[in-house]
Amino acid sequence: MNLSEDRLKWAYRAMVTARIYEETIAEIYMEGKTPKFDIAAGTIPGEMHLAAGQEPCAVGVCAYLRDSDAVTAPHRPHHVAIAKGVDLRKMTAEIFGKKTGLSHGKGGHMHLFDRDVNFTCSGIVAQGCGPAVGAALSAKMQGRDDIAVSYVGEGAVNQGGFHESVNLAALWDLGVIFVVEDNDWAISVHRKDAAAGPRIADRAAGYGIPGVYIEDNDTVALLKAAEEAVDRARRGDGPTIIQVETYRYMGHFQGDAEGYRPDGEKEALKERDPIPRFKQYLVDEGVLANGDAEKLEAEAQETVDDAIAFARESEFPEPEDALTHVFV
Amino acid sequence: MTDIRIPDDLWDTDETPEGAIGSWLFGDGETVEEGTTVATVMAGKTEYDIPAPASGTLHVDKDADVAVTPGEVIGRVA
Amino acid sequence: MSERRLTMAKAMVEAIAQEMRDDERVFVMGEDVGPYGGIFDSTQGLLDEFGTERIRDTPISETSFIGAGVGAAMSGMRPIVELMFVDFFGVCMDAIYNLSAKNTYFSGGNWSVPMVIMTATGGGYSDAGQHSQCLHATFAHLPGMKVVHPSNAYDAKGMMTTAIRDDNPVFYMFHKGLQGLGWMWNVPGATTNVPKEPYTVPFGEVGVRREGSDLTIVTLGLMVHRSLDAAKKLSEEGIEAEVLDLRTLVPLDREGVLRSVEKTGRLLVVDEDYKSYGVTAEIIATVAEAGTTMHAPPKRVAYPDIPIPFSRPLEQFALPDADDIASAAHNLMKGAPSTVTA
Repeated sequence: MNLSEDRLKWAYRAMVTARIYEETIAEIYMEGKTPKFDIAAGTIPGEMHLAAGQEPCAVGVCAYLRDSDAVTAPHRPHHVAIAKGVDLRKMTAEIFGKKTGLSHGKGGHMHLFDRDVNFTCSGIVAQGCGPAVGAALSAKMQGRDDIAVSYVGEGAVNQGGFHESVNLAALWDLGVIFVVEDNDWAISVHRKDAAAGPRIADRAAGYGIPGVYIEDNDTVALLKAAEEAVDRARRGDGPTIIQVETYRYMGHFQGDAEGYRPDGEKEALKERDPIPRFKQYLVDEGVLANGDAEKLEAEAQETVDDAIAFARESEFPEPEDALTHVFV
Repeated sequence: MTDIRIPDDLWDTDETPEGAIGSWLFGDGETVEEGTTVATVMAGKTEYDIPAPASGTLHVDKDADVAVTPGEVIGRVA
Repeated sequence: MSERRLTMAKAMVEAIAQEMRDDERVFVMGEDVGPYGGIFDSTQGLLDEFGTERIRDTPISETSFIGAGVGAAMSGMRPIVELMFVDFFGVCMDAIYNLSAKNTYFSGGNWSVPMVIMTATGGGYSDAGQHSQCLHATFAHLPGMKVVHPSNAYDAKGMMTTAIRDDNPVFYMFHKGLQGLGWMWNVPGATTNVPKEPYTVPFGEVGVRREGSDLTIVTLGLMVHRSLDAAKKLSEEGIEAEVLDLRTLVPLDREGVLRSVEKTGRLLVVDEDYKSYGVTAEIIATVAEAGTTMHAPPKRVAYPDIPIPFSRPLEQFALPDADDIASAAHNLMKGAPSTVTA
């Protein structure tokens, strides 16, 4: 794995930032929603899909990306946005519905758009697959070696849009990486009750492209696999499917009673927390010396605190602003 | 006079210390029949039905949105 | 018949359960309709009674399972399929309007497609532009399927029963804010007395929710309740509005609308769906084509022609409310000097 020590430290800090971010948003989300939960009320109204536990998926691939590489993320986008380098202040302000947000409050948490780092996300399952193919197609037609990464949950692989996009990318040798964040649950439906066949990554064979399965939410294994997939994409050799066995530590959305989940499942997954495991790896490899981890963790906390403070202090848009930006 | 009481074990109070009255399906003074759902109680995003413990006239003690805990009396049927 | 009140969600579930007990051919497919009970409670408890064979959780594969609904309906079953949010229609519209809505016609009447597609609509809780639309007109525009939209629990049960028994495809739209979900804001008027016995509510008959002589407000769904709130305010100012609940868009009770407008001579149409090319235009056209004598040109209040924004002040500004309706009614009344108010 050809990553500098700085980049590995960046990966650790991004994972910690994403975790702190989700835990902080989870708390803020409940402001104004107790004792009675009202989805329309509080500091952050609407649905909230958090990704605590899925940090390896975000950094494992984004570690190799440039700003000009496109990333499309689904409705659970924060960790990927953080790893892609989306402006956290503006992103948080968007999630709070503020004027200073990425989209001045029009998009909210499921519709984050940051042109500076070529990041978009969307709220309907498998929607990002086609646009990722288009981004890679543009790069090819324009003679750039930029690539595209389409993040989807494992539930999305049963949508036509996923299949059609993988096929097209394979057919045209486009530089797309399809990252399947397999957290087992599509809201309440388990992967084994939704996807036929033993493994999603095995489907790659049908398209004649590489399919990689990353077990146990392993950040290092993913970093290694992604390096190869990114190289392949940049060379113009075509797409790769990477299925990551990952963990969803929170509900599908905040407030989800999760009655469908077996007792003890979450607790068991939390014992396999990928962040301390990656930290241990970095210590063993000599990347993190005394005090390094604490310093990175403090920076992560500071970044999140700063973004939240910015969002809280920002103004709401004027109601009439609803009418702008329908067309350019 | 029969109390309408939230069952003691309706939800795990370690996880969700207090819930709230979701809504009353009947108004104060209306006639209700034993077993009919008269109110809903929310704990987090989970909703529970509260049946009338007897037939008679409903008296509402805790209005919608008011915080409640398991074991609490939220109204009466007389 | 005993008095008891149900939320709209429970009323829908009761209708489905009663029809399933009576008719082995009826079954349910959709995302999270099993143990979860439907994201908006539309199948709550059905799994326990009917099991996984008849209450089928599907993968996120609307193209396939709604298409499968069409095939099952043409093969002796009476499927109810749920499209979780109406906004998700983009991935399965082909099965809805090119198959379910056309196969009866294409087969020259040799085949029927007795299926119900139920789907959640509406915004007002900051779920942004891919989870908050109404899209009434998008579906009502397409011939070959019935499109219905109850505004209260009584209608929700009766119309679901009618839908299941109908030999045509029925697109059954329910508003999230009317379901009586504990975790959502609610409209108390949607929770009503509901008979325990099965019953039907016929399609194609407006519901007169309030009688009045000064103007007719034609609306549907959540906006029935907003219009009733507006009518109450207007009444305090001496303006008596008649409020018509369309209940079904296909078939559309044009006579019911005309009857009221002929009486009042003024028409205000209210819709939470996008303004242009929509229900409001269709109702106004109906009245215009009939040549009804009017005291004032008709008016409409609808969601503006913009996507639905996330941020609360933006969304609340754009959504029609009782004040918007009352204000439009005032403007409408200004055409009639005898009843102008300050």
